[in-house]
Amino acid sequence: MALLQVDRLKVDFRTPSGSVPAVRGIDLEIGEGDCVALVGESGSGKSQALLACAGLLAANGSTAGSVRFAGQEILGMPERSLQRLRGPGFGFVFQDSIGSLTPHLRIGDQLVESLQAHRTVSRKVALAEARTMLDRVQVSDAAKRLSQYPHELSGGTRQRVAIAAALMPRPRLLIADEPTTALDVTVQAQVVQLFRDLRRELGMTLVIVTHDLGVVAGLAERVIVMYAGSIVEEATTPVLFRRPRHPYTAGLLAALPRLTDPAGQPMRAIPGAPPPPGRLPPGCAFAPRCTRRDASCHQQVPALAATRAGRVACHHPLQRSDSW
Amino acid sequence: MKRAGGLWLDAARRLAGKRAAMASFCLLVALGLLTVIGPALSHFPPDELDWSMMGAPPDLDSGHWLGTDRLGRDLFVRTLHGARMSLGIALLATAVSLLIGVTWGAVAGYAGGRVDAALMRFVDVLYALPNIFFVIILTVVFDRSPMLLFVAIGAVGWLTMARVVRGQALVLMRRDFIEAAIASGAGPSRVIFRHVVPNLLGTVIVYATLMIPQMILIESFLSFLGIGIQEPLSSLGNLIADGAMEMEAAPWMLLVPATCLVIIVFCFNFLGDGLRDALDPQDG
Repeated sequence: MALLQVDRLKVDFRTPSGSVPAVRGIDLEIGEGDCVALVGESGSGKSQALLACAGLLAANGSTAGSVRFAGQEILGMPERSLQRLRGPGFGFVFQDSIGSLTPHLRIGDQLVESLQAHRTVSRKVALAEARTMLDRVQVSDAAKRLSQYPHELSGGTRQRVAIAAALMPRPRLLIADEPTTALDVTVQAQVVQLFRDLRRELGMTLVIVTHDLGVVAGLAERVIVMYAGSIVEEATTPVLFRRPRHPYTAGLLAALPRLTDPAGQPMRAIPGAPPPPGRLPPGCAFAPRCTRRDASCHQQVPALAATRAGRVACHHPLQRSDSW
Repeated sequence: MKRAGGLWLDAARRLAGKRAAMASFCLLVALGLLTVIGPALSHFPPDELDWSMMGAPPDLDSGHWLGTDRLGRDLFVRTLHGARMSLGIALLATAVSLLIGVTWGAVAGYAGGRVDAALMRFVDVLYALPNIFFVIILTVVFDRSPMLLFVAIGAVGWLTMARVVRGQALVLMRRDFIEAAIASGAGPSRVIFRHVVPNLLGTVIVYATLMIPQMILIESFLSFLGIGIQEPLSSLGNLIADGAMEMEAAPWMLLVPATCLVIIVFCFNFLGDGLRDALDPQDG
């Protein structure tokens, strides 16, 4: 049985100007021990989909469909039961490591806090565990860090502490929402390496939301590409990078600058912009920006169909012979 | 990057650099100690009448350093007793206000939506009642006692505190660390009391130091009107009321307790101002 099973999940936000769909019916499955990346532009619904899975949507958000975590239905679950799941069930690492640590709490208290929300442990035992966890996420000088405040740490260390805080209650599923976006490149590489080590050591299930394809290539086994609130393609990482099937995925990959590009060559951006949620075109949402579109793309929404390595939602997926 | 030691030590260091605030703080501590040990320095008990010394002016030789009132009671001792009573009531009333106001406001800010609206409309309604009336009714319905007085004053004072805290809590609830705490499975009480309230403490402390003098003034006002502290107990309010009656013949009876009141109120205000600056990290 999959650890996380999402069926026809929809997320809508009530706004003064009407209901805005952020996620438009997605299916996905994450097995125990998997490492999956959710990729897409800002506003593609990738973060909201995962927040909905933990019952963390903003007050004006509503959901439909089904999310099962270890067999339990999450949507509509009472807040109290959700609280028990958050932490030992699923842990979160957010993009903004500066903001996700409470400023007046020492690092030690912060970590003890996230443990004591779920287990009655003495402070001493919890602090010892906190120290072990800081060592595990490779924070130098763990003993000293315990008594420091968040503002005394560097950005990279703070993100490691935030990861440690999420790991303290030993979550079965760790959800990392753009964990490297706020960090500089060298620290990004370290954090990616850290996730890889943690997965090897703890056999942790990891879902990582990102728009950074470099992070994806270095970490995930499987990639799910989202566009305008829907899944457009899913494949194992090597296949997706070598043979993308959806024109959007191909466009994203082509847009990556390469070291071999001649200097001064313009970036190969995908023309146009994603449609604003709530004003989606009929048919395929990507059609207006797609080079492979034809009349049918504007009329009929393509179904997500199985491929050899995953799934793709396109009337005219790229074939082996196509170059991109 | 700030030095180790954290926000509070930084704030204490900044406060130590503010002369007016520090002087006020020292003066308050000294006065507080004096109200406790001071009466022992004089050999006059606060409620002993001395028929031979009625309305005596300040005189070092007689032992009545600040004179006596019109019943011959020593004014030095009575003023210290009064100051102790006024300070005590003000501190307790502020503590009551803090407890109710912070909890009320933090819960409203945390819950948001309908709960917030209901809690704050309740505050609005109480706000609309003239609160002196409210205290007067309470003291009339129940027996008069210093205990009731501070509960009544505190019960009125929490309204503004609740509003201040609720506003701050609303802002804090949008911050990422609150979402992170919720995402790690923290329940409402843990979020409110571990993550929201401690972040408000700076504002709350400043507000509390500014609230204490208000409480003293309300207490004095009520005692002045005759519905606060009753004879033979003294408070600054009823001492001033007594003194006002003899203002022309024996000005010291008014001046001594009034000066004491002014010093206390001034000091708390200076201290509050200093704390506000010290706890605002953007200011130096």
